Amino acid sequence: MNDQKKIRLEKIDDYRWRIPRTGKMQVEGLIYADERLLREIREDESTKQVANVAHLPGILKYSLAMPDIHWGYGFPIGGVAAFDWQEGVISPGGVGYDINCGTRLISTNLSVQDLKDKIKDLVNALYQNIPSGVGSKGALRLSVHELRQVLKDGSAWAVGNGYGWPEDLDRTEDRGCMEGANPGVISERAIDRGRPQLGTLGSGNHFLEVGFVDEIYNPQVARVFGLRKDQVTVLIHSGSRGLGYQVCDDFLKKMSERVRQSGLELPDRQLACDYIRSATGQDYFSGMACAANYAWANRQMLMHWTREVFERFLQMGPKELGMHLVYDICHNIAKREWHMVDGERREVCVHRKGATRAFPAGHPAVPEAYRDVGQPVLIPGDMGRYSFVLVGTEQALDETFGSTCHGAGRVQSRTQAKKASKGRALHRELEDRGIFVMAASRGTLVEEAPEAYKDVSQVVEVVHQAGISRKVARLRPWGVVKG
Amino acid sequence: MQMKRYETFDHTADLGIRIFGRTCEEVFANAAYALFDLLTGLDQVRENIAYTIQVEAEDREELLIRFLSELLFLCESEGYLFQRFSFTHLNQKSLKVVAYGETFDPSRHEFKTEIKAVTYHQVEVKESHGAWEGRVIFDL
Repeated sequence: MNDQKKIRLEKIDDYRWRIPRTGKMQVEGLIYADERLLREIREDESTKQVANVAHLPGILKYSLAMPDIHWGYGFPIGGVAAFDWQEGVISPGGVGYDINCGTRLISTNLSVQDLKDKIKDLVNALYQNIPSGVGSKGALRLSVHELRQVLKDGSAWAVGNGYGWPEDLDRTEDRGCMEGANPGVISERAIDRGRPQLGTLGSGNHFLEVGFVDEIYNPQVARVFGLRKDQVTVLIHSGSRGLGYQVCDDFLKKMSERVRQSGLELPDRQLACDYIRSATGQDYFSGMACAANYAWANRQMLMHWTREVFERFLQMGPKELGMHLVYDICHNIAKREWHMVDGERREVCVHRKGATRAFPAGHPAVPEAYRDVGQPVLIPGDMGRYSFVLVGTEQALDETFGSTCHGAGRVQSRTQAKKASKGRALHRELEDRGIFVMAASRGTLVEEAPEAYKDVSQVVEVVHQAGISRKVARLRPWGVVKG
Repeated sequence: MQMKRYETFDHTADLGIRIFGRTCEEVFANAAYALFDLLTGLDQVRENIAYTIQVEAEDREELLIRFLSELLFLCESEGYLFQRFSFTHLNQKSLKVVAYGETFDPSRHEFKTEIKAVTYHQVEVKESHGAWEGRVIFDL
């Protein structure tokens, strides 16, 4: 714990802190935070991790960290790092275990008034119909062949098999399919872990949340996103389940061996990586793409069942309900993208681990419907407070390879959260605040208590003030399904 | 009095366990016990199946991680819950163990925690003053 004291931080402005280059750092570190958040950030070793990442071959501009940064395996969670595609490295620890963990926001034609007396029963119906919880298994029994199709095609597989509408693909990052996915590089183990779990929410911090828009910051952009005050929304947070965890685990092992063989000098052995152009690097990229596609298909299916439950429960047709996908975005991923670096257009591999893409208006990767305003950014908060919708900016593209924060981040450990909730009826406390929660286990519920998390509005305020994304709307949770 | 098998400690958002035993085998067995105890709670698990597991690794720490990863995999893919482990062989680089337990039954069992992976972070297996101790961090 004394180590992080050695990390010197220089204040650039109220929201930016520099870690100057020392030793073998290739680039500087740059942390987005205000003084209050920085005090919490300095309590773990994550600032040291930002400096460690700056040592890796081919890193460009900065080793970046968002205001929700905390300790992660090798790379900090909340970290962004871009590497030259030809000379740089790729690292499973720079993506995380839950590959393409992400969120998706669905709008509706409903207003708070319409659900006032029904929310409790609706949440119950969602809980009954959407598989959640630890090790939960879906209703689906896919053959290995079918699963391979999922890994190749992602959301398009789901839509093609009746789980959703074609328009959903237009509003998913990368249209819900990452190129280069090759199921041949995935272990049998990953397939076996993933096969029974497709179409399940999972547990931990994953959730499905019925909420409503309680504040609009930017009416013009909100209108384009299809959001209005008092509108009922659904937010889904899930990832690639056991398949993704296994892909990460397999490649951490492979890359550690490669590092041992090649003698690549690393400041921390958890930074296991390999050159993007190497065979192992390419295999990891293809395997990660498979897991990313699995996650997109997964969220697509969860959304489809959510629509079905709404239709049945409210006895309304899809047209009348208007449950359109606003956007689906990932926050654990490495992407092949083009960015300007020192006035030159470069092909790079951007690692976003607990960070979200935030592209500006006009960028070709932004869905046509949003191209005049910019890409929607979804920032889930804890279940007691709120979540945010932001929009990407030109400044993000200039400074952070088009990236911003991803969520709240813990302040209490699981044990602390458990202790703090001893003897309390957390259910009732939330209900008194007008939030109904169905959780697969009390264990998850207390570990995920609102006060275990940072106030997400503090995190969002930093990225808004720093200009790497802008506030559009705030959502309030109303009915929550927890794994 | 029976010795404490394991205790948990916090590591930011993840969960660590400290494992105790009189021998190295006990540490391995108690680590496996801890894994299933955290996943599901073991009071409702009966012994209907015996499953033989063999693992190899470069050193003892890696062996422990590979062993626990194997168990986690068997739990997620096959639904096996194990509560007792009998070693027929264990050295620095390989082990063979028979695991006793049953298949997950939703009417009697409940999963409590999702463990994504067994990590190499701060892993340790050591002997001191005639007793053995281990440390592993799970990514949750």
